[in-house]
Amino acid sequence: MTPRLSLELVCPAGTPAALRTAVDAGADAVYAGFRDATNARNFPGLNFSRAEMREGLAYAHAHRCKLLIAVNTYAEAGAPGPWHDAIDAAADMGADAVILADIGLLDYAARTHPHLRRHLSVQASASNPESINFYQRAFGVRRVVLPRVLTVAEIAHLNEQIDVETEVFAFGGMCPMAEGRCALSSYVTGESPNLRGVCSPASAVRYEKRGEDLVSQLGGFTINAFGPHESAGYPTLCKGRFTANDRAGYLFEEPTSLNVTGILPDLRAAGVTALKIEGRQRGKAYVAEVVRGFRRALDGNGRTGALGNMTEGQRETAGAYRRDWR
Amino acid sequence: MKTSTPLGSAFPLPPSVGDIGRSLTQLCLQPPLTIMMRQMASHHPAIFERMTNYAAAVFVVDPTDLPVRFAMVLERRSPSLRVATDDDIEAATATIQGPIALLVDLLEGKIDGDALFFSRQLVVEGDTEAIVALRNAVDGEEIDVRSEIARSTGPFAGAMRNLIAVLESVFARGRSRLRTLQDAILEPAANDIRSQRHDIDALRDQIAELKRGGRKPRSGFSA
Amino acid sequence: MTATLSLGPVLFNWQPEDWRDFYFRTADESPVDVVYLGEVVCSKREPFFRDHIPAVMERLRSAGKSVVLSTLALVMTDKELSALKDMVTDYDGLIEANDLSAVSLLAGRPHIVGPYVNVYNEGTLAYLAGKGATRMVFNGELPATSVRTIAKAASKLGVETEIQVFGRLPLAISARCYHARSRGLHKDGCQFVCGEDGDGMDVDTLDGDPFLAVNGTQTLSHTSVNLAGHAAELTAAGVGVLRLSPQTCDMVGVAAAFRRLLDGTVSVDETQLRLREIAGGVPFSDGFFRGTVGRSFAESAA
Repeated sequence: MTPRLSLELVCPAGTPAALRTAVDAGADAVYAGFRDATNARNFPGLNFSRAEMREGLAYAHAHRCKLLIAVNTYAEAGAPGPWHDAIDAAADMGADAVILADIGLLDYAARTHPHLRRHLSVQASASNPESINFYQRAFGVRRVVLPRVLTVAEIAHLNEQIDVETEVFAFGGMCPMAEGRCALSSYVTGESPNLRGVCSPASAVRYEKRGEDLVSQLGGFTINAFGPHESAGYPTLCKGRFTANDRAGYLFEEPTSLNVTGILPDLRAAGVTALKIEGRQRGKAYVAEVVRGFRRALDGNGRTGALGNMTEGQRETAGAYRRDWR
Repeated sequence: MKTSTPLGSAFPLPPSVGDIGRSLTQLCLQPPLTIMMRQMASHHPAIFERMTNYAAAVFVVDPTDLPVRFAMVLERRSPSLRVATDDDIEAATATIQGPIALLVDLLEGKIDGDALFFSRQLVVEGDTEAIVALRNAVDGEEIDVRSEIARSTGPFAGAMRNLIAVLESVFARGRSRLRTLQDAILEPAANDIRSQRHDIDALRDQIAELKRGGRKPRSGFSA
Repeated sequence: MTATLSLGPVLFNWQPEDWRDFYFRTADESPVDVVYLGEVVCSKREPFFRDHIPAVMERLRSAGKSVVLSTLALVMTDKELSALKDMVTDYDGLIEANDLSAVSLLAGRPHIVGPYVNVYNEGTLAYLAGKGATRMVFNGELPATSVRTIAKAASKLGVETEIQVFGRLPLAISARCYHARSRGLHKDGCQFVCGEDGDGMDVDTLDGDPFLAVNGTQTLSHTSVNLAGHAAELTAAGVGVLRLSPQTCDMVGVAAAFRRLLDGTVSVDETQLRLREIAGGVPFSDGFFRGTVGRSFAESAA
């Protein structure tokens, strides 16, 4: 495959205001979900009603921006109704694609709405050409969002062996675990990312001041403690500090944020089609700043600007794109 | 730690008559607060729709550089914004603490709540889910506090604008006095609490140490 | 209760001779009917015990056990994929697919869908049954309501179902090795430090509470799953195979305890006492099955 000249900028929207912000800031596509357990950011006060999604779609299309609808949790056994309805609604309102992870739902979408474009969610964790080609053959998947476990070299090699577009994460929170294959959150809180669309849910989070320290707890377990001048992170289980071998530290991942602006040409050369910005749960100020920054970087008009203060722990990493991450 | 009593030279009350000071503050602030909330409800109904599951939640908003705290309830039919009473603070579902300028920016969606939190400028306590819901609901709207105030109509509109202006200058002047007062009254108490916390932390460490020692060195599957 | 017992693949990096002897003892003494083997977690470990596989398989088969080869759970590199392709080509017995790539390669021939492939509903199951799945091992976080629904759909499709009832529960898999990371090493130069923890490395909270267990790139529960108290419910729901996941404790004893429970010769309470004895200090959990916090355990089931 020949390297593409431009990368599509796919941006998050947790609310209609964030959607308009992303479109105005130069997104090529916006991804969003309905306000229920059918999407992987089922957070309180977030996401779109059917009417809001329809309005958002009209706004995006009026500005030549695409809208991708994430239905990327796993349908509950015996009760696939809400998931099927979400896919039907996306098809009816003319969404540019649905982002799916569940094989049952991919099958449903392919059979019921063959003309609705299907993207494979990162939650399906398809990390090799055999899996990706399977999803393409079986369900006509047109694009795969790659799990955050591959190096740039591996992505380039992968793109030589598949015939679907690839979308990679460019900025925001990092899952150190293979996505869609992690039950850490439900082990401690009972709420599963795959089933409920929440990871380390706010309802299970408590912050406590302990002396000068800020202690974060999840499901009754202390998962981190920050000194008075230390940057804090999300109270996500895998970004916590734990003790192993008598050493306390960030065993799984530091509270850090992915930022690929330093390796954009490499990703382009690796045959990547689209860049995804994480953060449907973030505010519109974040969306505005990050999308504008990436728009500038992609258009060749200089650097992204100060994205550092938008990052978790106020630190950045190229993550798994570099082999030494492992 | 703060007190809602002194309001600077505009209300030269001795600290001992705190209750009177508090009710005066309440008296002066309540009309504009009520108007603000009423406007919020009529201009941004989506906030209340997104907060349906948290309609009973009492949010205490604590601007660290103002001598008052506010209590807010986002019940669709009878929303309320008021100067927080001791009862409100006791019953708070969640407390959000930060400089007033940042809190207003947050309300207007000019800054990212997560970024503020990461940088530790914003402190949240209590029901985290309710706070996240509030942040998301507010962020989903386009709010401009100054123009919301300017848009206000009705008998209190002029008074409201004036009062806001007066309070802004009063707060600015009162701030340094307040700090002196706080230092004098609260610092000894704070020291006391700090030393108690130190003791608690030490105990906690000991317990953790004991827990560690009580277990088998490896994972313990060996019988 | 009519159900067969299986022994899942050894997930940990045991010494090759220990690995071999574990399976020899299983062949000679354990009342399990089905035995899974093969490297599921890290492809770097497989060469160590590869040479023992033929002898182990032979011994298990002679003892009347049904043998299944398990694949890697996360396939990323060319090398891993071609090893998988070789396994599918060279081995004509039953294979447990733990990644979609394996499902793809096994399509059209009878195979087992392992617990690392996400089957959360009957729609997915039906699709995979159409590709040749004859047995499906439940994902460990599924609640009883889902287990019942899927098991019912499975029996209509002629697919067997299996669930883990003992042993630490796999919770996550990563490209990053946390065992290496805990020693300041990278995965590429890991020195195989995972070999030092036969049941995984203890991960505690900052307060000293036992929390998780790390096994190289895999993260498991600190607790051991124990569904002995739900065995009757499982068999009634049509779940035909109960899986014991190997730990360093007396797994023959664990299998015997479950066998007697299924045969109705001992009570649930007696079984729990016996399991407690064998598992040493490791706490039990059944929270996922009860649809709640995974690490929790219903004391009434104990």
